[in-house]
Amino acid sequence: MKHLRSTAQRLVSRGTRRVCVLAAAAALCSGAAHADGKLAIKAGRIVTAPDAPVIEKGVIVIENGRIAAVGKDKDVKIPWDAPVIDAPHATAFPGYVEAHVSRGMDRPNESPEIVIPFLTVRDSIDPVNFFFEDCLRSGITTINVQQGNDCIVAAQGMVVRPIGLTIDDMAVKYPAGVKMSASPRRGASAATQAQSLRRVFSDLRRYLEQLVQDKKDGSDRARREALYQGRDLEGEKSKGRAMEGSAWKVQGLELIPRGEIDEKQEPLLALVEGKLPAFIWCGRPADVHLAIEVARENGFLARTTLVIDPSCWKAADVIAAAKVPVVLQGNVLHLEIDPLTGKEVETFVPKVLHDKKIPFALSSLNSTNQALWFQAALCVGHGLPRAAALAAVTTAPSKILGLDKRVGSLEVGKDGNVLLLSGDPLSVTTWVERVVIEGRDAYDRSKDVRVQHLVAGKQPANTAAMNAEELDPSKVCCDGSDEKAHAKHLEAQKRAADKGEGGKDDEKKGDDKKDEKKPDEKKGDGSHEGHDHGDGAHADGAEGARL
Amino acid sequence: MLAIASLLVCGLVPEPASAISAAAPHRAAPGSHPGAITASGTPSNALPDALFDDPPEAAKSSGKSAGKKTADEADDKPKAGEKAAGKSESAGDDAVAADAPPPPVFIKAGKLYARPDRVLEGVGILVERGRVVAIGAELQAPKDVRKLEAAVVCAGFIDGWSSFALDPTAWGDERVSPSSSALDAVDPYVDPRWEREILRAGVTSYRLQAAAGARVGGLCALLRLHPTRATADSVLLGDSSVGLSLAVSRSGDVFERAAETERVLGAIAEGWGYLEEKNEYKHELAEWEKKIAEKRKELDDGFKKAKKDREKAEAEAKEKGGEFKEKEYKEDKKPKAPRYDEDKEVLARVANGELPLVVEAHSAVQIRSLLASADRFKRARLVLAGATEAAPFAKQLAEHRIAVLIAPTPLGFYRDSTSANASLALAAELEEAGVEVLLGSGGPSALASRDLPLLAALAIGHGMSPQAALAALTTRPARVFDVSSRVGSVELGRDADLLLLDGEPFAASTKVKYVLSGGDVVIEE
Repeated sequence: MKHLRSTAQRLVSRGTRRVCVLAAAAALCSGAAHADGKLAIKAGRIVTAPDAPVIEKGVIVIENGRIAAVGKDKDVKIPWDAPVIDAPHATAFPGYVEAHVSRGMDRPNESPEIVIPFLTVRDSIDPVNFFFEDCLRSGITTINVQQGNDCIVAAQGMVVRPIGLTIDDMAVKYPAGVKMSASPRRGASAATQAQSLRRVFSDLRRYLEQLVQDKKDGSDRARREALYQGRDLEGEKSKGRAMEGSAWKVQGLELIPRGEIDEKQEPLLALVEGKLPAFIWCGRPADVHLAIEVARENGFLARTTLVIDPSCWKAADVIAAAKVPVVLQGNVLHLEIDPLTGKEVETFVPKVLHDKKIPFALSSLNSTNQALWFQAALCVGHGLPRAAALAAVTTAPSKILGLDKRVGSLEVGKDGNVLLLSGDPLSVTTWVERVVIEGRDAYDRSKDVRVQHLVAGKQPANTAAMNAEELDPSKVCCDGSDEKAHAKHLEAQKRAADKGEGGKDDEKKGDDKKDEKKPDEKKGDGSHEGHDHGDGAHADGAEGARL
Repeated sequence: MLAIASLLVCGLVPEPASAISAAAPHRAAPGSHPGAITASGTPSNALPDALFDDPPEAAKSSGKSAGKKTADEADDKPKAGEKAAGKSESAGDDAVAADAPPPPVFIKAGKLYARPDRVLEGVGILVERGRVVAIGAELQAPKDVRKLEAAVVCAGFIDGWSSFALDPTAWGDERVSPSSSALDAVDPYVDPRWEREILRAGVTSYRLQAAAGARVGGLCALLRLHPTRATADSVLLGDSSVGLSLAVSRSGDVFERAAETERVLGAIAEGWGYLEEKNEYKHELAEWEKKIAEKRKELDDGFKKAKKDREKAEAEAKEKGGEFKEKEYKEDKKPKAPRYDEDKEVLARVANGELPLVVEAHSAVQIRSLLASADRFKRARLVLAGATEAAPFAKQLAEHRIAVLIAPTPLGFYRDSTSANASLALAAELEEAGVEVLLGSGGPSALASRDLPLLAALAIGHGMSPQAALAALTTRPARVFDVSSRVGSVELGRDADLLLLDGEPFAASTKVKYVLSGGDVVIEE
């Protein structure tokens, strides 16, 4: 049902996006700001972590963006000056964490031919991108934005929160790692992709060695010059620092002030020194071997996360042996047809990863319709333990991003990223009612213009007509301001209906029905979920018939 | 362990260490068998471990570390499950851990082709830790060792021209350069059933070229077929040759074809030029360093005087109120190293004859122009692949000692565009003229190698001697691609890639009974 909802939502939003964007931004982002203040959330149920016991009638107190207290309402004292969100019917749950996504940017891929670790998605992220608004609707509060998979070594990624109108407002962690691909980029093959990827690091090494050699040559010459001129030799002061790194080191790098190192090479050096995480895309199981080999040979295996296609389950043993976490990008099921027997072989990938004890995060497949909660619910449906499925969208991705002390669960000291859900996190009938990000009231469904229009048929204030029916010139003669003209129009419509045009009659009925339900809608907010959905589906169906 | 009486000394003559192949014969001694006569002709009581020094190829090849791994090294780094994971279909008998050395096997052979031209009747062969450690007429099987028996035993076939396990994206990739490695194009998750199918036909190793269908094939590798071992542990030689192709513009006009030939010759010339540049630099640098060392000594010695002079000059300048000027120091500039180029590095090795160059060419025009320029690059070890219209040049090919790699395919079998003038008798004709003929399957299909013995039989049917055909699948590819110290013959110290047959190789009635790959019995019929 929720799935339907978002499809319908897209249909509507396509036509109204421009009209709505400002209104929506206002509704979504201008919630009472408590960033430096306090906020208390009273929820019917609190699920603090995937495997934690449920706290009935709990309270979460957030101070300065961090969780100050969480527990049963009788155990937690709400500060007298804290605004309170009272949601006795809601379930509080930690915000979902997206471990790797290539959306919200100007474009996901730069030219695949160039090695660009010195660029950053910071310059590409669009804070008012529709994607971030949708993240709030599906409860995603932490997002690792990384470049797309079509690359050799791409730009550095960034972890953001989906609120804020500038990139600095959004920033959670920067830089969040360098994106690479072990899979053939556009126009390359397995052989040439591997060659290009290896070359990046062999070039770096040669560059650094040459740098050191040139420096040594230069100072040797300076020494000879001093001897010739009769000057006393001055001791050489090193301004740089020795190279770190577990796989290989260039001796003498301490002679080079770090500022003299080409900024195009510097991020690669940081990788080799283990100071930057890496996200490596593996589209085929063979790529896993390459990714691990390159990471190991250059000393950043311990900071590597593999972003894998479902087919990579075949390399599960290799992944487990390398002790790297993975982000599953793609369906949770992998389907293969045996070339000899024609038999279909279906593999449920998260189960394989779970059984091999590989830490893994689910991802929303770069698509809002496959939101994280939906992926997790699919996993439970296919037999993954509930705690493991929930961990794959909360604690596991937070660990991958190195943010396990900040996000992924509701514990004292962590960021106040709280979802208020209308039911169980993995139920298809559950809505995200409210989202609090670091103590800021980030989203409220009752104020979500798009959702309210779609589900409840509420026309946003001061906007033009929003659906096909109202845009139909045969139906809309005026904007309602001219009462006379409007009455005339209604009369004409009635006459046409009396003539007995079946199709139009049906339509009218549908419209009537919708009207009937409107009062209902106003009454129950959150408590009549089933009803709500029925309405949403109906609206969708009716619209589909008309279109 | 049983004492073994007089052993027939056989297979002890090492490969003649040619100037081309840096591979020294592998040290071999049937150490754990007191009284056995070793490769050096003296009895040895050395521990078996002494047998297993790294093969010389390991030290020679400068490829990736994966390329240097031998079966023995696998002991240190457990890779169990790597390949097994990819080959989920493999049966339960594959469950043997890949990192454990294969158990010893004793083979009683009615007839052993130690080499195609060296046949031994009624011998026992002992295989331990993946190597042939003893061969003898009266050699007895040690206790608790698996015993196999076969009418005929020979070395596993080597397909000099295969695309098994090649990633499909790589076949026609025109971006491949001489330094692109075939090892990077291996798909470790290739269907193990296909691998068994090929092993069943008797092929135990093959040469793989990354972009076999493109102009530049890249750095080729020699790999062993083993259904359960990880790819990294199946590499016999990571850089066995470089592949270039002239077949691409066969249909083009004469100028285009000439340009194609020029491209290949140009590549060798480029490599040679790079080599010369590097040597020149090395020489210049040594000279410069010597000169600078002398100068430094001179400067060190003259420093006290220089300092006095300077102080004097400074004082003078002060007196006169003028400005003190440092003496200008001059020295020769350090010579600059040639710009590193990974492709030229490989081509330099080709030009220097360290790596063979496999050139696929079919048309007479191209073969002629290649031969015309062959004298320009005396050190390069050319291997002509395909060679459809090579028959008229048989004598010249023999004179230039250019080996020819043929896929004796019937018309329309694999390579339609290039086999219009193909003759199945080509192998025999070239052989007659004294050309070293190698046979390969040459097909783009992963399963092409399975047909290798059939193709050899076709060549025999068209005039090639069975002995030459056997050499074309064993000793010759091993020699040409620098792995003769490991595979291609059944001799002491060689890897145990063995075929156990119930009749003569290539005979229609012959069945492959067992196949040993790296000492493991991988096929049992």
